[in-house]
Amino acid sequence: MERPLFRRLIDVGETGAKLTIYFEGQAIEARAGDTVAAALPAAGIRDFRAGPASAAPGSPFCMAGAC
Amino acid sequence: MAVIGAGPAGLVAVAVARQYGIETALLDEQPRAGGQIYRNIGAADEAMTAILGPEYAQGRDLLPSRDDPGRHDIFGASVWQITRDGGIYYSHESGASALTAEHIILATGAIERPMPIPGWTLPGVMTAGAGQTLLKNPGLLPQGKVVLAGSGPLLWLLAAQYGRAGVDIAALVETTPRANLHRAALKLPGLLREGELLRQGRALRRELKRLGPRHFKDARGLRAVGEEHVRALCFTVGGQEHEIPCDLLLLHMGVTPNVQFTRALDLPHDWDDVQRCWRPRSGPGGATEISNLRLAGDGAGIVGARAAALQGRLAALAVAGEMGEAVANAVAEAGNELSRRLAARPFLDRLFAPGAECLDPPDDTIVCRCEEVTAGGIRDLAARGCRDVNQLKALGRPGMGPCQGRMCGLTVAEVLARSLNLPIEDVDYFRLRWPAKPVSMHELAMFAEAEDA
Amino acid sequence: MPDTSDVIIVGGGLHGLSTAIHLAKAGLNTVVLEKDHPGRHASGVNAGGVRRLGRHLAEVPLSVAALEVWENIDDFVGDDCGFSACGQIQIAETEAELAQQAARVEELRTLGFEHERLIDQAALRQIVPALARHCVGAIWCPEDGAANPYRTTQAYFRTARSLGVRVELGAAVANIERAGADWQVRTVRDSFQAPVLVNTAGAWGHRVGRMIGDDAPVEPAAPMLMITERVEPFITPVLGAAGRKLSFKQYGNGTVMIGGGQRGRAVPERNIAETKLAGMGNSAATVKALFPQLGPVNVVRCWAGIEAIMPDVIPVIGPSKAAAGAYHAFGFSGHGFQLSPIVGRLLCELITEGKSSLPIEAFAIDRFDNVQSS
Repeated sequence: MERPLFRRLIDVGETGAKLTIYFEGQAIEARAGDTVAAALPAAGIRDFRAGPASAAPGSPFCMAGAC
Repeated sequence: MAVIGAGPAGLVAVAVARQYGIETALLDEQPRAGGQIYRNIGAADEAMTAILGPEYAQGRDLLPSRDDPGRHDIFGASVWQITRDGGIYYSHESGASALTAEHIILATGAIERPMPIPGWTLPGVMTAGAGQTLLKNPGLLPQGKVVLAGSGPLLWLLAAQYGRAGVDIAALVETTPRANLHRAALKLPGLLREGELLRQGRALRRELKRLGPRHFKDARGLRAVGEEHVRALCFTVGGQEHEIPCDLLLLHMGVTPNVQFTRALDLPHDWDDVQRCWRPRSGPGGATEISNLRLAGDGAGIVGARAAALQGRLAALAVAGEMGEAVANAVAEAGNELSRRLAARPFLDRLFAPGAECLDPPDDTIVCRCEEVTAGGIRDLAARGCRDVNQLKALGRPGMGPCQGRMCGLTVAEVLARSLNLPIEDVDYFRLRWPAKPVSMHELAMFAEAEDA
Repeated sequence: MPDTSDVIIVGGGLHGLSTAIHLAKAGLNTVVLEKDHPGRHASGVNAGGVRRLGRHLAEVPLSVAALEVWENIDDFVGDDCGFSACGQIQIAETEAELAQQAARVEELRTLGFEHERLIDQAALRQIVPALARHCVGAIWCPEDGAANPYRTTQAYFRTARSLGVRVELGAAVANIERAGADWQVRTVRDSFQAPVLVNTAGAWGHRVGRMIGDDAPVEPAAPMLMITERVEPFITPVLGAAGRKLSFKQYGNGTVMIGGGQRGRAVPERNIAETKLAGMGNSAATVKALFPQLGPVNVVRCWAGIEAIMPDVIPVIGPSKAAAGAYHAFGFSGHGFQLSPIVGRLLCELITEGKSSLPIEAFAIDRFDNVQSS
């Protein structure tokens, strides 16, 4: 796993309960209420988007449901 | 009444409607109220509001203060079709639902203008709005080398917010052409009249100076470089080359109205030549040519959060007025306040108008991210006789992917129009059809009807 | 002074352009008047089916001849038009449907046509393994296939122009009148004159027909298509169903196109077509019934084009009833794409030789006259 691109603010967001999700078989810690697109980069999964046409690797882009 | 979008315009529209006893449904894609600007405001603690700042905290005032049985907040609802007769269809908790309203207020807000530069599809390149979204919920801060690039108030704001949170910004690379400032200066009186935005802008600039990230201005020729992942942002300033290494590149080029619904409804749109975007046509109270359908907020033309809230108020007052309520005084008051708020727009629109580079990127730049159509590909199709964006779409596929043209519609039209030397109105915009968001077979099948023989 | 030529064609879709190509090759000076641009409506936004399977008996000879052109479409328009002979299959879900299919195949055989083949459940499962298990058999046309409509229209357009055909874009016809033995056609900008007039105006064909005194009961309609997100390849042929409105095709890029007769709302006055949710729902329900595994797959786009539907769902092809020197080809009722190479040839024969090499009596414009007067 690479160094995460993002870290969690310690004092903030602790309200969400910790839970485990699995990405390609790998256990990842997430918080209740995370979007998948937020939980993965927070756990160090950098590139998990495959472009719709050529499946080129990518990351989430707009995080607002537009792209 | 139904309101689509729980940002400032939608939240105020619902609150005002409830003051007049109008039963109201509020639908939004997000799990909580706030829209993009006040995302997650109801759950933000002191530490978070300290980072995001007082403009964000203002959003708290828009949340309902008590339970209200006449108000139906439907969050996590992705609306994918509305009909001229008031039908609203949406996906919710992995199923589809529908409701009917006598009045609809569309408050679907803005989307970030695409900022196509070579390499912008590389992993590690996101929008500044995405960076801010991750901060608001679930509270993520970038680590490693971060570069912010582009133009617009959000770029400054995010730089300041990251700075307050202790994020080290490798560089703030502004592309705003110097000429924009001269054009904007003529509209300074309006900015002074509005007052608040000027104060906020000055405070931000002071704060950025104090935080001290490397700050480049009037940057040109931006390119994101890297192989598996973005490695650096390259650009020139005054002819001098720069290469700033980065792990995360956040791009921003202002925001434009989200026209997916108004386009799919075949409402008329007007071209805004300063902001280089389409605006759905609306009149007082957000009225459209479809009776009982009104627009409010940035979705009808970028106005900012404060003015959006006033437009939401005016739209709801117009509905109340149609139901026989005496609203003239309230309308006049909100109308005056709105015109004061809007006075700042001509300045901001000119200062942050997108530069030619963003509108007409180099040949090797991907324009349509879904179908990976480049600017050069569009120019080729123009040379082969494509005269408008819909022909281009049929032949070259830009706009046919899952984002339904949101990320490329404006750029495709700009590149084609410039290539053909035609006004943008002539090359038109994508003809959009429902569903406005991808929707599964399972959900669509719920709306099957017995057919005539 | 009006622009003069040998033939004026009103309507620059596939049938108009095909006619223009054939006429130009025959040495006639031809002008095409197109109100928008080629492929704006039915020619450009249809499902691209290159299908003989299931044709009305009157259309079968034309369709069979058309496929011969499609198989070498590059020779006709200098482009492969995205044509692929992926096969067309029409499935039966019940024994009763299969029995009807057997009768149909037998009827064609007695007429001398052997392109439709009846296959059993085992063969069907081999051709479409992903299909729901309840399907009992099918009619199979392995030589049929599909092409890219917009690319096809562009290829016709390019070819017509390279042969010297003048295609006037944005040239909506305002009125048509006689000028001696000639036709005079006025558009918003210009005036055109020629001894021969061809009406290939699609969903506007009856309006043009009325301008020269012919009436035909055309209903404008808006066939709808839906496109899914990309999924793993799971089906090769274009699939239809004996008992359902369906045309189903997975493209090489993985997207699945779903059409086949669900209709939106045509608004010809505003030059647009709207989609209708009930029709989208019906198509989705059909897809789920035949391919249950597609339930979670997203539809990312839907659209509708304006098309002319005749009461008997076969086109008008042939000379005008009301006036000499005028010919029609419109009202293809949602399945004119495949016929386009041959319709142009037949019109050219009518114009240059006064007769058609294939039977077209069933497509006469006056075939509804008795119905209307009785």
